[in-house]
Amino acid sequence: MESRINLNSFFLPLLGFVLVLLLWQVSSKTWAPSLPTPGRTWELSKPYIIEPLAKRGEMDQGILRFTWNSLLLVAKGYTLALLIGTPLGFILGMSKIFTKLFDPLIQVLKPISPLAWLPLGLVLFQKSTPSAIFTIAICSVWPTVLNTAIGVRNVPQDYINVGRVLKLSRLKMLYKILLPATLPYMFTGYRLSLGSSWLVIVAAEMLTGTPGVGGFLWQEYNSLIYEHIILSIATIGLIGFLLDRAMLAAEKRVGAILA
Amino acid sequence: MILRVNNIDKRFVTSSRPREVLRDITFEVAEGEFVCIVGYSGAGKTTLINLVAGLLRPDGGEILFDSNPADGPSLERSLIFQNYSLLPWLSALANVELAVAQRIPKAPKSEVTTRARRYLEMVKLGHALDRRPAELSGGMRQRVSLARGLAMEPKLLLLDEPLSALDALTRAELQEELIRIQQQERRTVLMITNDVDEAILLADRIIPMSGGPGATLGEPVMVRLRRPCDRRTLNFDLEYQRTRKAILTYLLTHGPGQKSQNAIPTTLQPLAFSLQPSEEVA
Repeated sequence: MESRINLNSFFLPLLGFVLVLLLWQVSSKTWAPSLPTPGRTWELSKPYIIEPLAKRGEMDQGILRFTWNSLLLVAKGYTLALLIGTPLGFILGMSKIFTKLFDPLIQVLKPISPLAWLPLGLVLFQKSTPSAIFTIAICSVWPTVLNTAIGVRNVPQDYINVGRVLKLSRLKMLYKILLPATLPYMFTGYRLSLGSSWLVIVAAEMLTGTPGVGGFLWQEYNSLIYEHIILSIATIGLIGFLLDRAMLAAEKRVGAILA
Repeated sequence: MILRVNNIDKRFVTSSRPREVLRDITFEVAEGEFVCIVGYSGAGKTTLINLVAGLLRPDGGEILFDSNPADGPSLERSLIFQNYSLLPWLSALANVELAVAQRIPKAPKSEVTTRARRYLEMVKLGHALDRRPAELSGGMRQRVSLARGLAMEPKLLLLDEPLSALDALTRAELQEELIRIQQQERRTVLMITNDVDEAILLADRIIPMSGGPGATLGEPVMVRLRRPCDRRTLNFDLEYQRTRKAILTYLLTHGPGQKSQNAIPTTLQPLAFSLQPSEEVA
């Protein structure tokens, strides 16, 4: 039974992958002639994967080098999002008036796409890098804000009563009780925010033209090298998945401490 | 009198209709006394002790502590919660230290630790100082919670059904522990319980509480047992039998929803309190 589960959890995903490859192959041979085949994609992507850290030119680098550049840009916007989003979430969670004031606005701002924020960023900051960081931050801040607020609202009354019986000051109540009790929710928010900020990377780098996965993707589209678009897409997906897994592990660790 | 509760009323407003929980509650606790309030589950016992702790405010009447109105929580009235309410991200020691640091705010860290450690050793948890609540059994958690309350060295210790979430054996074990600590520490204690025998074992004076809604208190019953008493021979003790009968008679004629004091045949009554170790009413 045990080995069968292992078999399923290994072979079934592999089978899914093969099926998609097959569909891709058939598609590029039939109804989508401009779509490069899997074989050709691999052929043209090989130099970027085999030498992932190579730097042959500004826009001709190994895939890991591109990824690293993209991660640096995302890290800036993401850090900004956490620095703004966490305290905002706390205030929102603690004050009913604040919730009434801003919650509807947040619900309206949340679904706006990165492509809509970019021009506003350019208007505000004139330069492309700050506006890219602004776009990443504003698109990824919402999960942190909302999850932190939910976490604060869900702190068990028992813990708050302990704080009241012990006559903790407001500050001590915050960092001895509210903060640790909210931590699992905050981490869920951080994980979702990281996912959102990574989603923005193509849009942000399209604008900045920096050498990253997104910038590479856009450049290769303009150069009509479609194989590299697929390489970039696959890389973005894989990196996003890895980031999510890493954050999930961190989240579980935090959750285990508070169980 | 360290605590005077005068004619307090408490209502909760649920879905626009106010529900009367406590009606005209009056009692006192003298310094050095161990008082138990015994009553039905859901009668409002926890509400009452939360009022005394200052977590809730009464709708009428007043609570005097040390001759002053009890306004909000105080370090002199420390409450031990029914569900332990330990902070899960702190070790047993850190949980107690948090309380001690509030009590002696200017003391150096080492003194706080020494005191926290001493009380954890008193409840026999010297070996589990670094364990977090999730790594402790229910009984051990309540010991930590007890150590936290004792370490505050309050003038009045409030116990809200501290043993009701424990299995029978652990419960008996912790009752013995409470008796031992009480003989050593001589604290003033107000305890809530739904277990008549537990009350008789621990208390100097027992006040029965009627079933809700609008729960009231009955006449206090003094417990004049020779201490420490042996739970194996307790059943045959005439004083024990008298005390038990007095409390049960009140409880059985003042059950939940009963308006009158006329006795309904006791066999038809729901026995919301436990009747261990023997099922007989002497």
